[in-house]
Amino acid sequence: MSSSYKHAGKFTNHFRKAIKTLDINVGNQLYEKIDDMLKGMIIEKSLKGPYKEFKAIRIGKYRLIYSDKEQCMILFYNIRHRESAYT
Amino acid sequence: MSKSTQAILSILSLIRISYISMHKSELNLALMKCLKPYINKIIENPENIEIIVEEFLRDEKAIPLLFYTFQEVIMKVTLEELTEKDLAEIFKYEKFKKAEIKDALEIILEHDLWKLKQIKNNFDKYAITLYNFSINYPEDAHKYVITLLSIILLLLALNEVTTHDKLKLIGDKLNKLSDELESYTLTFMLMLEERKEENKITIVKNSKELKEVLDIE
Repeated sequence: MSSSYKHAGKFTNHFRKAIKTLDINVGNQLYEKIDDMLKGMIIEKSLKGPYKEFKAIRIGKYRLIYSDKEQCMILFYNIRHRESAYT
Repeated sequence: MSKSTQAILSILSLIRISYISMHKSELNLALMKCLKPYINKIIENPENIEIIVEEFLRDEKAIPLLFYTFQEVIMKVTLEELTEKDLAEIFKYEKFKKAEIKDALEIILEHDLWKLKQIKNNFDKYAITLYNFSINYPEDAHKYVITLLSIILLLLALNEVTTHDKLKLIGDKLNKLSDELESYTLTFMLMLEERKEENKITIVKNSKELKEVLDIE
């Protein structure tokens, strides 16, 4: 049985392409995080300048970039791996 | 925004610090001499870092030296030199470990390496992007400069302190500022990406649809 969300989620094509490159563990973490966000648990961390309306949250070594500017809607814009792996 | 503030937009942080520490040239020693009073003030009260950096930005002697050493780093450091092994050494530094700034160091290094790659391989586009950012969003650009210079000075201050309390205080401040730096890194990355293809949207309204989009069973 699937539960309805507080917010609808909008996914860009870039986002959908990016998640195809993730491994299964990250995929599950991502699902849990997005599921929480669509249920209303949103964490704030704004980007800057022209991307001020976008926010980022960390999921392990990934950053999910989204916008909650529209009422009752979250736009999932992109997901990026942290570039440096020098540890 | 002042000219010096605008120019500092391109400066690196952690790679610079490592370079300055390793290469005791006349130029680096002169810069360190100019920075010393600021570093002392930071050690005294790390919480005042942003005020100290504002003062530093008005220093007509220190700012040019900072530029010259930055140019030296850009000219002499190649991306090939920055191997995984060398960069991993940064994380082994005892004071960084004690200050608990591993995550902050990763964020700072990511910012520096990305920026260095753009300067070396994609300079025109990178320079125009940062120029547009400073012209169109002067307040954000100024805050970015303050964040970046604060990180540079805090890392240098961290190198000077010995007590656990001071290491912790400076570490906490670095962790906060690296969070802010990460927002700038992502913004610049997104600004530089060209999106020529159409960006179609898929809408989900429940967990079943979300699993389908994420391709999770």
